Amino acid sequence: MKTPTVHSTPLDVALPHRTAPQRARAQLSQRLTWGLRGVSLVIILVLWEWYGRRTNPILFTYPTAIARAALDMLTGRSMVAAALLDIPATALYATPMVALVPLLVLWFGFGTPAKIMVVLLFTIFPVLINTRRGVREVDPRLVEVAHAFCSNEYRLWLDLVLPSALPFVMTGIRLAIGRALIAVIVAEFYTAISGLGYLIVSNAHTFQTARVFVPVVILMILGVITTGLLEVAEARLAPWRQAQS
Amino acid sequence: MSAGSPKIVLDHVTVAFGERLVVQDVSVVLQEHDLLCIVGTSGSGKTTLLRAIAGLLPLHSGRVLLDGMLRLRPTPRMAMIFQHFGLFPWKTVRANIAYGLAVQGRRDEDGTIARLLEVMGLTEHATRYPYQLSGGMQQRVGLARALAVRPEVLLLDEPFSAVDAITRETLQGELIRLWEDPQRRQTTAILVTHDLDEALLLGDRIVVLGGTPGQVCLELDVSIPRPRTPQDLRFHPDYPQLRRQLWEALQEGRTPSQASAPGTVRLGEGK
Repeated sequence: MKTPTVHSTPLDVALPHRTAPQRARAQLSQRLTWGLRGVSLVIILVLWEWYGRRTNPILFTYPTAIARAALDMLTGRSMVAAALLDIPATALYATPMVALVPLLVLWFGFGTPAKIMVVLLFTIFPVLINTRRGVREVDPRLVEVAHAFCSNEYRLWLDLVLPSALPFVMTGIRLAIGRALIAVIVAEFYTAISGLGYLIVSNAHTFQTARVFVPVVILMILGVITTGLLEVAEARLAPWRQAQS
Repeated sequence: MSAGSPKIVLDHVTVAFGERLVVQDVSVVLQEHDLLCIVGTSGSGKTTLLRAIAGLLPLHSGRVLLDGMLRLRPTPRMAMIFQHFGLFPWKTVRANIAYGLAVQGRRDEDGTIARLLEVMGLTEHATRYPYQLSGGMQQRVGLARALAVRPEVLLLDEPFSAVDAITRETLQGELIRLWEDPQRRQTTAILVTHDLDEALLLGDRIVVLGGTPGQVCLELDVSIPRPRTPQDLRFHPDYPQLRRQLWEALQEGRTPSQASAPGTVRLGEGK
């Protein structure tokens, strides 16, 4: 499409489908704006990082230090966060999530968002709690080894904290898979407009027992496959754990 | 020993856990290429002292000087070998040996890793994980990891006490061989042990730590010439007398009332 335009800038040529040059320009400038914002943000962060690292850590800090502190607090290397979060996290973990499903349906409706929320609530705690435990179970003797070899905190995470937490994370995910399947089915029992859970409920209500078992078997197969995949992933990610057990 | 400025000076070093003193008023001077053995019963604070020298523990009072400079934190110029090996279970033998270089942001320029694998007889185990190796092999990895960073000071914390007696003797022999390698003329070492024969076999000098808190009960120059083998050692005329001296100092250290006065112990005539 060729549209002779008065303001024939290279930017207009780049978008030949736009007939109104003003509109095209407006959109591009918006993209440009976001680009510029991103670039400025990156420059500020880099400068901050550069300056912060050269400054006394008591007086100032830098972005990666903040990110690491946040990670520490989230995952259990921080005593303050542990004191703050332990009881609420355990309380929520201990709550039978099934009890919350009607409430979530009330909040999020009968559609997919409600199902996602239910699955999220069912799965997040085993992963979170296991990860926190994994991070805390780091062998203090190896921490000393890292310090003796002058490791910085970033390398300490990379060499020590992450690998030693990995098996715990995997255990959390394994638990989460089972709970995710439960979550989906329970959510579909309640919303009952689609999905495997809906098939189970509707067929059971009409006493079509053979049909009830179709989704049940599918769920079993799903569970076996996902757990198997996880085992393969674990063997790949943590080869040192093979033959140890 | 060669005259010159001392490599390491422990100047009235005292280490405390909270209010409790663990090591008190230890003063030692080491010249370059000295191998000092610190001997003591368990609880005498010898490992604590070594960790303090490494900069892993803060000093209660006193100073540690490296080449005349105050040393407060761990430095890449020192490397440590641990009783528990301290290998990373998720790293292969090669990656474990390369660990020190990696965290210090240094590259393996002249094939140091490959050469150490070769010297330690680990080449064929390079891609294995620590759990696949025997204790002796694991400590070879620990030794190679420390040597890979080419430390000026090697700190060994009961390095051979977790392996069986025969492996221990082999590893001691290998350490002696490495020690006498002309490439390592600039290395100074401090080895902590509770094995008197190990101290006599490896050390140029021996410090006996005893009492609570641990203090220096005895310092001793080992007069038996190098290179030594366990056999040379046991049949050397000085051996019985040296060993008795050490033994008596250890006994003395166990009864605090008789403990000899803690004082400055000067090692090395170079000062």
